[in-house]
This record gives sequence, C-alpha cells and structure tokens, in this order.
Amino acid sequence: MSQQLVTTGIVLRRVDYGEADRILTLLTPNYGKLQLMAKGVRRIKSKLAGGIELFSVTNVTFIRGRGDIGRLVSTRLVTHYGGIVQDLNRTMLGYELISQLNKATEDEPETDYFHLLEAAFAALNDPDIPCELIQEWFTAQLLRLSGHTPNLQTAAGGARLRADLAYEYSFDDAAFVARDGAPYGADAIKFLRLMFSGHSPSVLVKVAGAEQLVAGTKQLVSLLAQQYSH
Amino acid sequence: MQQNGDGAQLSDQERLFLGLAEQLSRPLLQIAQLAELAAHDELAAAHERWQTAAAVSHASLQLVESYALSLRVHGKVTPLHLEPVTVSSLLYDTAHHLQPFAKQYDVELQLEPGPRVQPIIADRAVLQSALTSLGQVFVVAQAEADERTPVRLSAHRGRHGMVAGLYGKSTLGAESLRRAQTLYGQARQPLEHLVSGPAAGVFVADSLLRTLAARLHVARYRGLTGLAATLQPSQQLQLV
Amino acid sequence: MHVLLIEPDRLQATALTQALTQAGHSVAQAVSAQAAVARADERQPDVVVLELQLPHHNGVEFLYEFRSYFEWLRIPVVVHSFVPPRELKHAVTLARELGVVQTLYKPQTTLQQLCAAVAHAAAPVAS
Repeated sequence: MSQQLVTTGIVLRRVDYGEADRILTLLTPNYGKLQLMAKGVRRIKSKLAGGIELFSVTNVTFIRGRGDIGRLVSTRLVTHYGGIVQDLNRTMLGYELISQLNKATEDEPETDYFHLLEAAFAALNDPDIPCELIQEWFTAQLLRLSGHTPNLQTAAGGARLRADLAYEYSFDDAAFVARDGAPYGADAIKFLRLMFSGHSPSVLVKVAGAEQLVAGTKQLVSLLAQQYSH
Repeated sequence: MQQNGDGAQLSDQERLFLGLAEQLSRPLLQIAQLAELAAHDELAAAHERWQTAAAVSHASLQLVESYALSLRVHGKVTPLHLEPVTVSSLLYDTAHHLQPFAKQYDVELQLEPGPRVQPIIADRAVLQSALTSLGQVFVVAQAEADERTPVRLSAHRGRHGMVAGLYGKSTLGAESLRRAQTLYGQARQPLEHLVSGPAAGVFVADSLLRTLAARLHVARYRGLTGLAATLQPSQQLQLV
Repeated sequence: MHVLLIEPDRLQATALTQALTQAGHSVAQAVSAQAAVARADERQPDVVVLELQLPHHNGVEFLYEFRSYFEWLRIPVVVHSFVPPRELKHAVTLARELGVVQTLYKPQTTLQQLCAAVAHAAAPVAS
C-alpha cells in the first residue's frame, strides 16, 4: 500500500486538469515544491473555499506518484490570512509575490522559502505594514536567499562605509561609492542592512521614517533583483 | 486618531465620513440607473422603478441623518435626551422603518422582541437610528448571501443586560469586527465577511451607541450570528 | 452574446441586467466569486462584467481562479467597479495577466456606456 505522507504547505498554483481534476503546486518546508493531483474535485464545489485556498497554510496528506505528480488525499486548513483579501492591492501584491517566488524557485527550494512566503502573508495580513515595504522586503529576501546580498559594509576600494558621507551604488563595482549629493546616507544604508539581515516587515515598519526610507531605497533593491534575475 | 500603514492620518469622524461618502455613492448610482432605465419604460414598469428609487433614497437619507446625529451628539451640539425606552417597541419601529428597503432587496424581516423586561434609559432617537443603520447593512448582506434566511431583529436577556441587535447568516467573528473597527474609512471592504463595500451603517451605528456608553459586539442567538448592543435596564425603574 | 454579470448588490444587478438585456444580450447573474465560477461552468460566457468588491473573495481572487481554467483564458473581462481606477496600483497586471480589457468606474459610467464597453470587449479583433 502506498505510504501516506503529511506536510504543511502553501498553494502556489492551481491548474485545471481535464473535466474534474486539478493540479496543485504547493511549497512545503520539507518536500520543496510538490505537485499534487486533486482528483474528482468538481469545479462547482471546490474553488475558493476550504483547505486549498490561496493565502493559506494547509496541512496536506498525500501519496507520492510514480512520476512528478503525487495524489492529494486530504487537506486541513491551518492558517488562512483572510485579511489580505480585504484590500485589492494587497490581494494583487500577494499573487505577485507568489508568482515571484514560484519563478525564483525553479529548482528544489529550501525550507527558508516556505518561511519567507509565510512571513510575507503575515505581513500582508497586517494593515499597519505598507505594501511598498513588504514588496521591497520580499525582493531583498529573494536576493539574500539566492546568495546575492549586496555589499553594505564597505565602499568600493574596501574602506568601511561612513555615517558622514553620502553614497551612490555602483553596479560595476558592486559596492557603494562616496559622492557629494548622492542619494544614500547613513539611515538608508542602515535600513538596507536591517532588511538584508532578514528582519521581518513588522520590525522594519517600526524604524523611524520607514516610509521615506522605503521610497528612497526601493529602486536600488529592484535594480539589484533585475541584475541577478537572468 | 488612527494612523494606518500607508501614512494616512484621519480622525475617527473623518474616517466615518469617508466610509459614509463611499456608501452613499451606491444608492445615488442606483437612482441614476433607475432614471436611465425609466426613460424607456412602459408606465407600470416605470412606477416600480420610482418605488425602488424612493425606498433607496429614503434609506440613504436616513443614513445621512444618523451620521449627522452622531456628530451632533459627540460634538455636544445636541444633548442626549434620556427617557425610558421599551426595547420591544424600539425593534417594532426599526422593522417598520426598514421594511420598504428590505422589500426592494426581497429580504424578509423577522421580529423577536424578547421577554417583557423593565425599560432601559436611553435616547430613543439615537438607539433607533443605530438599529436602523445597522439594519440596512444586514438587509444588503442577506441579499448578497443569496440565501433565504431572514434578517432577525431580536432582543433577549444577556448576562450583562438586554442584548438588542440584528442577526443573519454570516461567519462574522469578534476578531473580524475588531479588525474592521481599525480599518473602516480606510479599507474598501472592512467587513467583507458580512457584506461587500464600506458597510458604513455598522460604523455609524457604533458611533451612535458610543454616545450611550454602549458598543456593537458580535452576538450569537438561536443559530444566527449578528451585531448587537448590550443595554442596561433602568435600576430606578426597577424599584418602581 | 452571453454575459456573466458578477455583482453583489441585488438592485444594481437588476438594473444592469435589464440594460444588457435591452441591448440584446443574455445575462447570467452571480453575487459572489464562488457563484460566478458555477455560472461560468453552467454556460460559458462571451464577456464577463465584474465588480471587484465582492463578499468573501474579491474580484481579483475571482480573476486568478477564472484564468486557471484553460477554456476561460481568453474570455474578455470588463471591470465595472466602485474602486476608482487610480487606486488600483497593479492595473497593468490586471490588463496584462488577467485579461481585463476595460476598467469602468461605476459612479462615472452610464448604463449606455457599460453596454458599449461590453459590445466592444466581445468584438472580434480586426486582422
């Protein structure tokens, strides 16, 4: 008899398969990305409710298949981040983050990616944490987990970054370069350090002037992500 | 003052007004669309449309009046007029005011006035406005739920006083209400488990009840979930 | 044409249905995202008219679910909503990824304009 396995998971994608089945792609902490066939789940009943909702952490029982696709046996909802869908922009950002993570984890993803997405849902579920901060933080975590944390300690040339200087980021040098009137001062660099050291959005939002710091650093983080996305 | 994560700084009354303004765009749009359709109607159909327009207009006017009353009382422009109020008669009057609106949405109202108890001391107009504003939300919510469960206006004895409120079939929980009280005027659907849209009637009702030192809370009674206020019977009248 | 109208408010739904019917279309009404999937399954629409503010699951959730079905990938969607377009920060995503062909702001859209948008949405693209 095939062994039933149990894991928590977050649904990344649901795709129609034939007349009555669906294929779910789940991100799990222990099994990486799982593709499971939910058999006989008729359209009319299944969709938007129950254990396979998006923006949820779910306990799934499944049987490994011979090929890549296993069979879903049962689900149980653990946490549903229902606050996300109260806001349309948060809903859309949630889908975008899922999509970004799905693309960033083509290969076998580690446990950290599961916890990242869970933390992202928790942040989106908190109306006091702005969307822009969550978006920048998530991009920074994807960079960090893929080993692309930028150099936030020393300038090009090796000298330690100084609090009394302003810097611009040089992509050629992959480091900050001091220049009068440059956009990144001590506060911005400290904020980036906090962000890239894995602190959660609930911590970042408490930084004085967080909103302005996000506005001032998000473009840099976005450009770094573009650089390493190829 | 509530400061949300996206930098907005609005007073409670400003947030209430924002929610109200959004809410009022709905009936005004309904009236505009009815007028657009009526231009092409036969007489009988046109008559029906105007009835709908009238019911919707009156409900909206009532909501505006309720909001204005809450502003006046909170701002001490109008003092509270406290008097003995029988909860059952209050519910009867509320049902009567809601009926034309409920009819348009094809929602049935059920009345459970509760046991004979001593009256409460309250401002009748404030309480009436609160329950009617709340009732409008529940009527729309029941219609959206697409089920045949009526909206129940009910009063019963609770542990801490007389619980008077409106009930329907919903999954509203205490946490959802708490969250909504943080989000109203800022989120477009602060009570999306109950009803789509701003649900301004709930927050106007809450604002009115606060003038009577009461708050809306989630309540469950006889298999239905709703929003209610707990009101204290009059100690003085008990002794009479 | 067959229109799937996703509109939670009963009075709104009645008025919109009558306008679309008078314009020569058949209309299936749904009050929620879940009901909308069921209606689409009963009869495939040619166009969807969608209010984004729905109870329980919003219109964006509906769109992602709708587009997860292969046969519904190309059905045009007209958003007709109380949400002002300027507040939709991801409007580009709506158009590009979710097949929203037009976004109408309800308080500034007449029934006639809605009917014109529906006719335009379903018109075949000139080759």
